[in-house]
Amino acid sequence: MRALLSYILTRILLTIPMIFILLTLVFFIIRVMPGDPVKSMLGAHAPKETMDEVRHQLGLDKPIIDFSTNNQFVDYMSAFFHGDLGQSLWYRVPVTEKIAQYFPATLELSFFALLFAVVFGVATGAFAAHKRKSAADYSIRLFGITSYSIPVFWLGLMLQMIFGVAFDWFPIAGRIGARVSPQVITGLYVVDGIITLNFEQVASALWHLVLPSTALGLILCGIFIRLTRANMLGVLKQDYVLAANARGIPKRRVVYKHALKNAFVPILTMMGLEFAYLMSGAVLTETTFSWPGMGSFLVESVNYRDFPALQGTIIFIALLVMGISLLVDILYAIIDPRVRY
Amino acid sequence: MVSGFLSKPFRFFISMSKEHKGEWYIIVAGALILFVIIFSSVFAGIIAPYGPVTDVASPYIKEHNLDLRAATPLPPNETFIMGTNDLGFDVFSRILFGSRTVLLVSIAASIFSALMGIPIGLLSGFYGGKVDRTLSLLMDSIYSFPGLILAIALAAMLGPGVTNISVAIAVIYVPTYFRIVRGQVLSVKEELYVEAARSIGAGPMTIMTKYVFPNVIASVVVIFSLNVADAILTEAGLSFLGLGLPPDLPDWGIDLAKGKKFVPSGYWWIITFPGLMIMLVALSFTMIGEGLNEVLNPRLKEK
Repeated sequence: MRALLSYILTRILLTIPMIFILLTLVFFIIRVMPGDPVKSMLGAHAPKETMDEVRHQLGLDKPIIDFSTNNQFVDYMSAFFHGDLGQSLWYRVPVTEKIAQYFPATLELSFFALLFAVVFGVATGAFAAHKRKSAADYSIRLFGITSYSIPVFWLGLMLQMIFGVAFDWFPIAGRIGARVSPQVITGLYVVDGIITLNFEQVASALWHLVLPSTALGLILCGIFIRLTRANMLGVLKQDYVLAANARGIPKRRVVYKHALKNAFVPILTMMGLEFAYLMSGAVLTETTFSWPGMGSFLVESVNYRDFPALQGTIIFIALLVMGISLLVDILYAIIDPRVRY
Repeated sequence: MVSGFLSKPFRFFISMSKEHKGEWYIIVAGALILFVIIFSSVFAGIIAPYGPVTDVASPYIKEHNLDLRAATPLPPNETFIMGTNDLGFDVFSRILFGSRTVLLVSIAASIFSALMGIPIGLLSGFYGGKVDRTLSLLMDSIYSFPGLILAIALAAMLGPGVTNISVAIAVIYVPTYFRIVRGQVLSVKEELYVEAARSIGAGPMTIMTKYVFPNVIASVVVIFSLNVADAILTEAGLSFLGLGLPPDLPDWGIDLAKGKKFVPSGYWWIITFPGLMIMLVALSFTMIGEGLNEVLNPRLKEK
């Protein structure tokens, strides 16, 4: 128990300098961006006095960094530790408010994409291991390698073209049908629909989720296929599998019940590691499907030169990824005692 | 010296080729696809039937007295094997010229990452201590960032342009090289032959370049080719989002972004072919990388 606690503590302490480096990095990247945010906010023809005034209000007339405590970097850091990510220059509301508005859409998409990837990936991976060196095994492995190389936005466009336009089965844009006015509690339309017993909303939200989460899920599942297959092959060589076979337990039961359970721990870790990749994929998927999430907000912020929004979104996503990887490491240490050191 | 440290992995490749038949098929298939694509991109000026930004559809429509507006996207036919886009440009010619942009950016970015990541990884692993801890922390911070999002921020900061986009992509892959090289150095450093070299008075530079580095090459080759595959997808993604490259450049990602609005109208050829090409190029690099990885990494070898 002592060892576990000290491991968790060390892991948390190691995250602190990483957050600091991350904040500093984001700050300087955003500050040297070309283009004047105040000008793009007020229009190029605004009088100089107004621009100077706005610049003063936003604290942009202060030096970026110097040896005093009155500069933009100190303002930025202290605001961050007060949970303030600044005001969006375009929407004129706190960035945190916009993130709260957009994040549930991304979360919903990511959840279903990951669910698809894990279920599909683990099932096919286990099957490939079971039928090793069969035609099915080779095709599954080939698909696993290919799935890395498919651009997710292109796959999205293809799905739109085939299942959205040609067959007209699924909608190709947005989160919910135009005739459904969603009741928003958590912002996750499926969950909100279930809470308020509005099943029309649940159906419409799920309907809209099919194509984007399939596109993103298919891209992500390759890693789960490989991982499951490799782990299963390792596990199937273990003595206890031999023992189970010797006792006459059917092969299918040995593979899917005994072995799969033990191959699952590394898959959990991979889910944590894949989270960063999932976020990158979500940005592209959202753009393809006009999905009103963090990715759309991020791209919009770049185009409007809305740097507090851009900065806030990047920090939020990066912290989320760090948080998830911290969580997974801790969970892993709890499950597998060999990790502690 | 060059032949000195190259011949060892080379001989290694030859000796491994016998027992890894399946993997070598994958590598060779990947290399063949890649060769065809590189060849056609180098000779795009000769192979391409038309220029990348010439309206060829309008003259065709006029000549054949088709009842269409000028520059209407034409589906694939015997004159335009991949059809024409909304500006009347030949899709096939644009794909040939576009391959130059993708290959240039992704390979340049990967070389740049390797040139940054390998020496830093070598130093960090070799000297250890405070330098190592600081560098590792910095690299881990960059590594924990979702790649595309960091690239978006960097691309926005640097502004559009082929060089800028290459640098933006390069930065996100430096930690990959760093981690691999550092890890390898840490294990090689303890080997007996390094100890032996040290005992006969070899300096740190000699040990690093002649004893440690050759052992790292094999992993670097694998990482490089997987890295290019990833860089291709990142480049295409950035172009698709409208970041990075000047919009008049023939580029697959830009063509896809422009073709997005034609999904409802059913002009499938405008978006299908550029995406297929992105997949094919990325796949060829992945196949080479994965194949080499199986050959070079005996840990994964199956009975």
